[in-house]
Amino acid sequence: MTSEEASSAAELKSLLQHGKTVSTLPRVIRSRVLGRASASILQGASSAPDHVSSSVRSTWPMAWVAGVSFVLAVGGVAIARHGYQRWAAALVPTGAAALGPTGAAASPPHDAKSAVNAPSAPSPATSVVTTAEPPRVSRPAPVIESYAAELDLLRRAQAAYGHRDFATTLRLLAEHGRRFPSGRLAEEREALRVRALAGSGHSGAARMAASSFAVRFPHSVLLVRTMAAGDARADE
Amino acid sequence: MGYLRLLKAPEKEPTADEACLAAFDKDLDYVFETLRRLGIRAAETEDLAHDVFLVLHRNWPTLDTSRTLRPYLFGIAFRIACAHKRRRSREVYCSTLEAVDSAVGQEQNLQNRESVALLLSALELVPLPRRAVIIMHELDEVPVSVIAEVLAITRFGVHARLRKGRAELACAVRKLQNRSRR
Repeated sequence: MTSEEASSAAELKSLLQHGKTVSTLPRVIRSRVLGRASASILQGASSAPDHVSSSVRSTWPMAWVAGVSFVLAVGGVAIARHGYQRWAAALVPTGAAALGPTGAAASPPHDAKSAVNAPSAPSPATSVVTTAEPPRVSRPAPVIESYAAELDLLRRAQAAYGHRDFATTLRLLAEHGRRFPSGRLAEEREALRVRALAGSGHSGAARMAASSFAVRFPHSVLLVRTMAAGDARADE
Repeated sequence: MGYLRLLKAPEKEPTADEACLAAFDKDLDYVFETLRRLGIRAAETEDLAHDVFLVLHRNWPTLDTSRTLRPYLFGIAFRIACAHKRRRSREVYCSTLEAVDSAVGQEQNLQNRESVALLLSALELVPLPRRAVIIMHELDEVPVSVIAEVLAITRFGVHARLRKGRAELACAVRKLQNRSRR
């Protein structure tokens, strides 16, 4: 070992010695962290972060897992697309015209054109019948369109809640949940559901909805208000 | 004639939640320091410390509380830091003002603080898996067998990471010192 290496090792040792000290936290930060921890215990929503793996080794093969998942996803999409095309091709003779978004709003000119262009188009009468009763084809709506639809549904639900029409509110929320189970406004929907359930006198259901809200959205800004709504009406 | 004697009420046994919170409180400084050593920014440390608590609280009923908790806390902090860094690599960090701890002495600890800053900067240059082993063994003085258990690697793996990590750390310190001298 040269003298330079020896001095470097000594310096490193000294640095590590300095680094052993654990500095004390300011009281403000300590009380803030402990208060947050207590709050999470009280809320019973101490769901640990999902991204924390149970083993350190799994931090490295994550790239492999991600790669395999990506390949599977791409394959799945390709298979689904192929299946969809085959299925759509099978539908063409009977109802190609009815493949509009959600089936209900297909415009007449488009329907006529599709019916004409179909390779083995049935008689006009059949076409009219299939247009009148389109099959329920769910095609993923564009992002902006789906967000607008979500917003519209929630606005209507909010308006119904404002008029204390809880049945309509719950019906609209259920429709939103069915169409956009993981939509961008799911958090608002669930919060409104708790309030609507509480308002309609279903205190048990409201409490359950509030607790599931706390589990699903533990960091939500609506959490305190929603829990209070669930508990307040339940206590009455 | 009879007389009344004051009897001490039996001490209330702390609940599991209280015990968990007390243990976390006891080692809170260590959790913050560990996250800092693992390269977490000051602005993010509080959130990640809370994540550490959530994992601790979830696993509290299955923990052997007779053993020292620090290696276990380090394991949690390390995994959380790894996951956070993976996530952060996909995000754009928006720097904010970082709070300066004014409680610590200003001048008398200046050299000490400089040394710690140099060490932290050098640790940043060591890859995380080896950095974790260095921190545990060299700074926290955790035995190799415990490190192997906590990080779920073999003892040989610990020794190998330690050897390579030390060399990388020494190299990083030299590099930083040369840079500051210029």
